[in-house]
Amino acid sequence: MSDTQVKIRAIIAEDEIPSLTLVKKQLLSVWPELDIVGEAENGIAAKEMIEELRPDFAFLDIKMPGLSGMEVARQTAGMCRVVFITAYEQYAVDAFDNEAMDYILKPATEERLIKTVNRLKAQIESKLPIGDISGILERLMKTQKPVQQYLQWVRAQAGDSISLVPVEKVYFFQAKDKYTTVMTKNEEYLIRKTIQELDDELNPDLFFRIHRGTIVNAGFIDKIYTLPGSRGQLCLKDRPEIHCISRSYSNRFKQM
Amino acid sequence: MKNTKQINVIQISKRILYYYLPVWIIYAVITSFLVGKEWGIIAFMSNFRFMLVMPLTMYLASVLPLLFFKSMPPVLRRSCVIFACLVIAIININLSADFSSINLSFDHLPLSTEAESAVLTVILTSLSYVVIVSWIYFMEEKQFITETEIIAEQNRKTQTEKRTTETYLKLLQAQIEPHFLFNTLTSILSLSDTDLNKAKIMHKNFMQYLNTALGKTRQCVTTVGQEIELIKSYLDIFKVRMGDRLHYSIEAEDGVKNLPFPSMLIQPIVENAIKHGLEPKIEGGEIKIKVTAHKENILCWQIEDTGLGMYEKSNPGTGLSNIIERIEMLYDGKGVLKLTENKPSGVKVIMEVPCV
Repeated sequence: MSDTQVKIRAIIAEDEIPSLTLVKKQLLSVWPELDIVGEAENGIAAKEMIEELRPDFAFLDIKMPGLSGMEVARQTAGMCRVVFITAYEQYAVDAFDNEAMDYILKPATEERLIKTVNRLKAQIESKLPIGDISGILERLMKTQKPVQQYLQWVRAQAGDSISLVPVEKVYFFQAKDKYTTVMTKNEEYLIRKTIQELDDELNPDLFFRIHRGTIVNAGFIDKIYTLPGSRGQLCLKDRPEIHCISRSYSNRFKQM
Repeated sequence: MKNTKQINVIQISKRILYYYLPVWIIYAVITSFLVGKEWGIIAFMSNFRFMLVMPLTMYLASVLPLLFFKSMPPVLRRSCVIFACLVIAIININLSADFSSINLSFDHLPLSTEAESAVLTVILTSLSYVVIVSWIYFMEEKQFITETEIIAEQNRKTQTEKRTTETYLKLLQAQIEPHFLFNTLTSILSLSDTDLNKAKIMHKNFMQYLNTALGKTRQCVTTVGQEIELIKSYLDIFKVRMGDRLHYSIEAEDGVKNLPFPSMLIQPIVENAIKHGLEPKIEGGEIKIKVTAHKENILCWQIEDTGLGMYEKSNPGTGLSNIIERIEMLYDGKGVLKLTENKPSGVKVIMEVPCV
């Protein structure tokens, strides 16, 4: 092992074959002593490969099926040094720069690639232990992918198939026995979710609970009539129904 | 809400004043003829009082309910006004009659003919007064409502125009989606080093895609065939990028290809299927597209994928809501877009639009 020409072992994970070939070719041209011991086409394969081969470097594409590059890095933290491959603009390159993460742009210019490779070489030569990057990764992942917290689709049984109804098309939800009626402009669906469950999951800025058994889409409200005793009635556009606003839910209409 | 309520009250006050003035003058002239008679002064006085009470009643009857009910149906408000007017008229008639009979025929009972005619005059004028004033009031009211409706209609029209422009802008934006352009160019660059033949094919497909996407959408009417070509070149580009992970088939019924069809209406659905369904799936999958023309001039597109499918919280993307909006506008509510779960996995999209 005293030999100075120790091969540096690396794997590349990238789901698109053309990109994989290009990255490999470019890397080898500026870093001939790099030994690419494995190529993975998805996140799960990449993770297994890292665990099995324990390479010095893992070049991971950010966007991959199965697991994203960041997920792979997080799950294999400490096993090897990670270099991300990212398309221009795809994931904020600025964020990587801020966190001093190593990354390769695709397509990479030669001088940029040489700069990165030199930095990687220095890391190996200095024999620094592999830093713990899981904190940084978690921070990055939080900023990159805003978590969808509200219900976007309603899955409704229609005949023997399941219909997907985007919630923005729903005019109102109404409790009906054990089920809930979902009403769009022209169609009616039945779902098993209760009004209370829907109320918890829907975006409260778009959907107003107006009654124990009714949630309406605020975007489709046409007219609101107030009745004595802080109750009211409400009509939606394009729909004939008149909905009652009960006293306990009338607060949000008072500010209007 | 508060603001509109205030405006409403001011408007009602103005409207009542405007139509009341001419009526008041005419009425004053007519009643002044009675002054010459022996009982004329009394009749005039009672009518004068009536004329002061009447507009006040109407004003209060139209405005007061608004203070209690923030917005009430016009029918209900009209009923309030009529009811109040009638009540006041009846009270006034009774008062006038009593007043006149007491003052004029106290000495000689039964009533003199003059006193009787005085009572009759008061009753008739009061009643005709109610009829005339209400009639004019509601003519005005009707005109006002029509005018507000016209304004609302104009507003709606500008809104629709605005929406059309917005969707058109979004459409233009969608066509030049930077990720797609950039990724494709990167792929061509990569292939030019390793597989020149594939690079050429991809380049050709990309040109074809841009040609259809950017060139043809400017003309509003394109054909089903052109949309199919667009999708084909789009999918071929992805086929090179995704390799064996993507398979597709496009079937079109005879004669369908020449039917007019708006450009870029199906492409975003295919894009969604790849982006959310197949690209994130390890083993990839298949996209099946079928175009058929139903009876009754309905064109039916069916786009199936075997990807990951939609979750309740997965983002539908702007592409889809854009399509829904465009269908709504282009086909005036006659187009249908249905999304269902494909078996065993993935999404099945059915679009049915009238062939124009």
